[in-house]
Amino acid sequence: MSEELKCIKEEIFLRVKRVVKAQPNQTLLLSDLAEVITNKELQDQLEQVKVKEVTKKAGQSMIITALEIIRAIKINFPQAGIEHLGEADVIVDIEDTPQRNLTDNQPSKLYVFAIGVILFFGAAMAIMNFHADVSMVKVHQQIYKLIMGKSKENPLLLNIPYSIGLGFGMIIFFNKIYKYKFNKDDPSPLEIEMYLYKNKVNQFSLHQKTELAKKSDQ
Amino acid sequence: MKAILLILIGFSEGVIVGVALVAFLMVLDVIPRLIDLSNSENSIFLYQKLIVLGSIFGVITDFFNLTLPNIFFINKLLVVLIGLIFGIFIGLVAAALTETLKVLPLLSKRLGLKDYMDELLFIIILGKVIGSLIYWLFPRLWFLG
Repeated sequence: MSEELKCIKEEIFLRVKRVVKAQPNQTLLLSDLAEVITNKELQDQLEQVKVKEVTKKAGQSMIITALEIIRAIKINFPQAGIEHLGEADVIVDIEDTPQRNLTDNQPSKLYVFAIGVILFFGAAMAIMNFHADVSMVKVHQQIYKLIMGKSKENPLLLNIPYSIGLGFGMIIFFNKIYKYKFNKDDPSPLEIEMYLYKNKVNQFSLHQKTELAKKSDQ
Repeated sequence: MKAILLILIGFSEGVIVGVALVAFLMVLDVIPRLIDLSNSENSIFLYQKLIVLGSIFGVITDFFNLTLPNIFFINKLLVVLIGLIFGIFIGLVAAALTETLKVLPLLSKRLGLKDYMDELLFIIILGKVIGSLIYWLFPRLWFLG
């Protein structure tokens, strides 16, 4: 009976990561490049499998295909059945020292203030130009005449609530004002836009780096 | 004969302008966002009818000089209310335009101001409100002479 237990094929589920950062001369272990799930006894052993050494210099990129990873696994676990989920290649960015945490220092207050001033006046001018563009003056005068019966050149009673409503409308659309959200679990359009933009940038840089790495491999 | 031509031109003009108006509202995702916020997907048909009715009411108001009868203070209240509603709608449209929606994430990522995005959004909204107020309070800005 115990002999049969030893002959059970191990099943390994492999989910390859998309982008990985590494340092020059680092030995890449399996746990750096992919997520693996297997029987409990083999999990630690599997994660320590060496796949490849970083041979390139900082600033370059390396591509490791899933096949190389699988080959490394097969060397150590010849009986294993491997299920592959996820990407087919890993892009390894080679960076010097982990200076990421230090370079992201806070932008200076003056900088933020200048940006804020530009945005404030820019938004004001944009709305003023929009009003002049669609000749909102005439429409307001018409509506005022419709309801009040008299015509007035500057219907302030209509205009001031309109301006306040303008602010409300934008707040309703974005669903958050100064970190306070009204409907807690609703993703704001701003967050959706950031996510889409980040995705686009990531996809493009992935494509670029694949091209670059393929060229330098030739 | 000229009457038939006029009728034809007017009708086609109306069709195209109507389609353009609805397409404008659709493209900006304003109405889907409102429906999402209020969880009222069942009332979509009601909203459709209301948009059509509202547009027709707008046309009538534009072309015929109607006036409401003078019922003391309700008139002023109605004016304030309609001004508020009008502003809310334009605010929704203005927020959905590319100039606000896509500029902010792009700017904040490009200039490294991700943490300040909430404050910047508030500044933009405040700028628009104050800009609108200034526009109305100083007639010289739009008085065409």
